[in-house]
Amino acid sequence: MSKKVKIYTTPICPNCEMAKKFFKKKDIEYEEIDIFEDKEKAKEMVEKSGQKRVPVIEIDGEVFSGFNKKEIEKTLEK
Amino acid sequence: MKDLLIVGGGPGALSAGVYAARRELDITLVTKEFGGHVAETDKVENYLGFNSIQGMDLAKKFENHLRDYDIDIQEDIEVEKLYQENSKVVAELNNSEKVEAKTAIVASGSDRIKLDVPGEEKFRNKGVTYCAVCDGPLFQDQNVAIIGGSNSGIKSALYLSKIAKKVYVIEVLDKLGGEKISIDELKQKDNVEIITKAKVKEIFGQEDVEGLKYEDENNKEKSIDVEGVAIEIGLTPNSDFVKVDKGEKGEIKVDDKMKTSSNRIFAVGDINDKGWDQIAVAVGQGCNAALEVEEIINKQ
Repeated sequence: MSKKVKIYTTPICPNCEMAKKFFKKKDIEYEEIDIFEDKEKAKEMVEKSGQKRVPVIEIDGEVFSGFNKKEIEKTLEK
Repeated sequence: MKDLLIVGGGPGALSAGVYAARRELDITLVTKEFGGHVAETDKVENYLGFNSIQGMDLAKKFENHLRDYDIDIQEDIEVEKLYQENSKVVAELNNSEKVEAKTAIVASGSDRIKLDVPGEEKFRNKGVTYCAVCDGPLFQDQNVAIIGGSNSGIKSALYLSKIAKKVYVIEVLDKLGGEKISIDELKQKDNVEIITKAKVKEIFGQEDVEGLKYEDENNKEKSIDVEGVAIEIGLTPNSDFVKVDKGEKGEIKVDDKMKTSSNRIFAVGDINDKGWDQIAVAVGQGCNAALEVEEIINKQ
């Protein structure tokens, strides 16, 4: 079953770009949330991750702060 | 064996790649990521041909230019060791593979220098950031401090002044550095306060950053309330993996041709001890090194 992926991003963020590229390469659909455009979503992101840092990636409710490829790959394999 | 191994994904590496590809050298490029510090910059306004361009867009143009050529690109990979063995260069990668080449150009850039004060590590990603433009939108309508008043600090302050309620720029020297045009622009901003001759002593807070303490020019301790602290006090070369002669700070020693102490290894951009850490300098050095490499290959 396909996993539900959300990526919280900002407009200038190399690690966000890397994360998006990673999911595109794997042909996994994701929802991108630009927190610059939506303050409420920015709050939501900080509450979920407990950190002030982008990107934040959510896979089926599991939250990751930053883009750690190995960690994400492991979660996708579950 | 490859003619040339390039390490890095910033302007120095990609310039070397384009020049070497056009000379039809057989190239492998290994990089953790593309972009370098260019991609972390809001606006680039001093690179010829682009009056004003987002750093990320310029970085993408560099990458796309390189990808026009038939080059073996190994992205998302780090080089753990790079050394010369007789007349070849060997790179050991973090995926347990090895690349052997006749020559190498190292352009793996630099990392941000840490401030080394209490609270910096505790509040990392809790208000302390090393990429002001990436995390900047998290500080909308809040107070932030940029530590470091050189060119990159000023650029970050200009960007944050559009987002944050108030921006403090804290510089340890008696004046800001970098481009006068940007300093003048910064001084025009109503929500920016520049504090010079100030030494940051501590970043404090409970769960997240709530403020910082600094020592002013009269050695008096002062405190400001900020929710964000962006550290922009300079760069340190990312050169640990390269076995060549280096200076005290890890900067790779090169000659005028960008050649290191190993005659088949070149180093360009922020990582070496020559020139300013600027896009134009890195691009020029990349060109220089690639043409030197071609001479070596053709002599064989």
